[in-house]
Amino acid sequence: MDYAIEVFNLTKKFKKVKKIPTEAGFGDAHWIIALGLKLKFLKAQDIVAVDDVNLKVRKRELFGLLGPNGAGKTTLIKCLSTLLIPDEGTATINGYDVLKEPDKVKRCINLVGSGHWVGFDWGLTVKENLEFFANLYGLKPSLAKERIDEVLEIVGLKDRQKEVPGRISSGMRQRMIIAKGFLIRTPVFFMDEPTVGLDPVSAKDIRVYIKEKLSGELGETIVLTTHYMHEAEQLCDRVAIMDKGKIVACGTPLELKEMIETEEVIEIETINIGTRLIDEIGKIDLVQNVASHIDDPVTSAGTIRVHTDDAESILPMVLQSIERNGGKVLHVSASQPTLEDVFMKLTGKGLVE
Amino acid sequence: MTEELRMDRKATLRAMWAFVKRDLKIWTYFKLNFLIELAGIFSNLAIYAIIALVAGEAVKSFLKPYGGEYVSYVILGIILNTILSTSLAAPYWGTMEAFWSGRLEILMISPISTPLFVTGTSIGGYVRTFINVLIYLALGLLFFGLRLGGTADYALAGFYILIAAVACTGLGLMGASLIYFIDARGGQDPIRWIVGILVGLASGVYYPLSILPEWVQWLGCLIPHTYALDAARRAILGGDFKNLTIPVHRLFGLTPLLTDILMLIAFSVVTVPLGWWMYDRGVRKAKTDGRLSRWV
Repeated sequence: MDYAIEVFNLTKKFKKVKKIPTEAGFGDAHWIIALGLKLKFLKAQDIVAVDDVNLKVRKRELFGLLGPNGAGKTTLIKCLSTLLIPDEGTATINGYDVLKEPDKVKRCINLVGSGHWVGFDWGLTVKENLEFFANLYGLKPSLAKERIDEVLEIVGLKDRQKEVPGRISSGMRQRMIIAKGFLIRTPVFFMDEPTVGLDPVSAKDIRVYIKEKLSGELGETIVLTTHYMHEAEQLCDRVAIMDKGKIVACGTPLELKEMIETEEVIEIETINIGTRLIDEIGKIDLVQNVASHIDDPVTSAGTIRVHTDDAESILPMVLQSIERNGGKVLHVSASQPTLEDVFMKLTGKGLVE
Repeated sequence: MTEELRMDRKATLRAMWAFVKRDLKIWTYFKLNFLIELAGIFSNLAIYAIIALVAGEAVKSFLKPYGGEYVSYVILGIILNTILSTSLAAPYWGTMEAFWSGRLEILMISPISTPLFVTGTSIGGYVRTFINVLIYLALGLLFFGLRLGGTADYALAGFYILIAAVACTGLGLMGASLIYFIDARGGQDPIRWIVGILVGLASGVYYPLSILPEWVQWLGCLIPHTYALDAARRAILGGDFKNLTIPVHRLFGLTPLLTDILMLIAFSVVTVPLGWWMYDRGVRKAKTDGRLSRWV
């Protein structure tokens, strides 16, 4: 089997250190303060962000890294893209070692991040920013022009191409980041939570483009981190579930869901979901796991998913708990297991807490 | 189809041009920028023209090796210092700007090499400095009595300035590496801070070195600016080529210009490889500590 990415016992630790007040305005004296804090840094404790990860991603595969915030997904991506040097272990990208041949690795990869409006110049328009990156990646002018027009169309920024990033919405800026990623077509493409901050329609369009064009037509190997289970299920050929720096399971979405096929899942839509209610349901006999997802912070309305071996027996007790805690049941259904259920089974907690 | 990216010579030039274009666009984004800079340069020159009126005669005898006239001496000093300050500061500010704008990781992951990244992020500073130097010269000649020597050897002066700029780039790289080593991200690094003090006090930008106590003059010998200022002024202002003005001149017993160039080459040979080595180690350290990004 030909692999695009191979990860061998990769571990990355960080020092837990007080943030250096770089923006506090110490002026010329800042470096003296920074030096002092650096001495503290040496004594600081280690935090293990990625813990002994082994992984193989096939060429042309669309691979998902699923896990909650802080699971180590981004750190793993940064190690694979040469932005971080692992403490132990190594990895190869397209056959090149990330530690020994970082320059060759950089020629094979592309990365799209999320959040902020990282990487863009406030003084350049959307189009000028994309032109800058096209030049930076060595695209010939004719190809750059063609690609820029194409990606602006895909991300829906054609009408806003002459605006500067500060004059468009944060969702549009995220689309700019994605457009920048789509400009470059390398064998391996890392996408770190690309659809965070996008409206549902844009997110769907982006997912379709990733699946059909980048993965299907161009044959890029794509590693996509997400904490949206539906995104992972919809897009990925295989998914690795990460928690506390470790990969706790890896397989196709179907294989992962088969891990919990003996369980029943009850899905209850209600209001007034709170910690007390979830704790109370969790203590009911035969309840294996319980997770909640709040859709409306004002009324605390959302969904509770209860894992059990005997739905019929526990359902009355669960409904009584909800009533006791001021909830109002809107809908009850037996649900198919999702990747979130798999995550809950493996880690004892929900993806979105 | 996908393929590995190739950065051949044309692609590299395109990448460099992209940096220049970007910096010029950002510089001209605020239309008043140019006028503000122009006013700053004008007032700076005016201050030294007034000082020349007050104290020019008093220092005249000390300026004999440089043509004997204070206004030209100090304006040329400011211009040369502007160029060398850019070399000194550009690697630091290029890296800092990339860091604070969240662009450092994005540039580091691109197929351009680290030297190309540093050059690219610094190049805008040089373009601006070039424009500023032209403004200094124009205003100096038109309004403030800057007089360039009739026998000025600009090629010789340019050669000295170039070697000094290379040496200062080495120092600048050493300073920029401290962004990674000690998180010197507050607008100043220790190396540039120390060099800045020595430049102001003992390099001869604003007054001739010979008016200072001997031990302070020796401090001036520790930075490349002193030698570049000495040689370039002699070449441009039509001074003499024999007068020994820096303690190191007396130490070696060679002609001043020969000593100056030897010292500048020595600085370059030491600072440039050391600067690149430190910068590279600094990037490795940041990649180990996870501090290439503002955000985790």
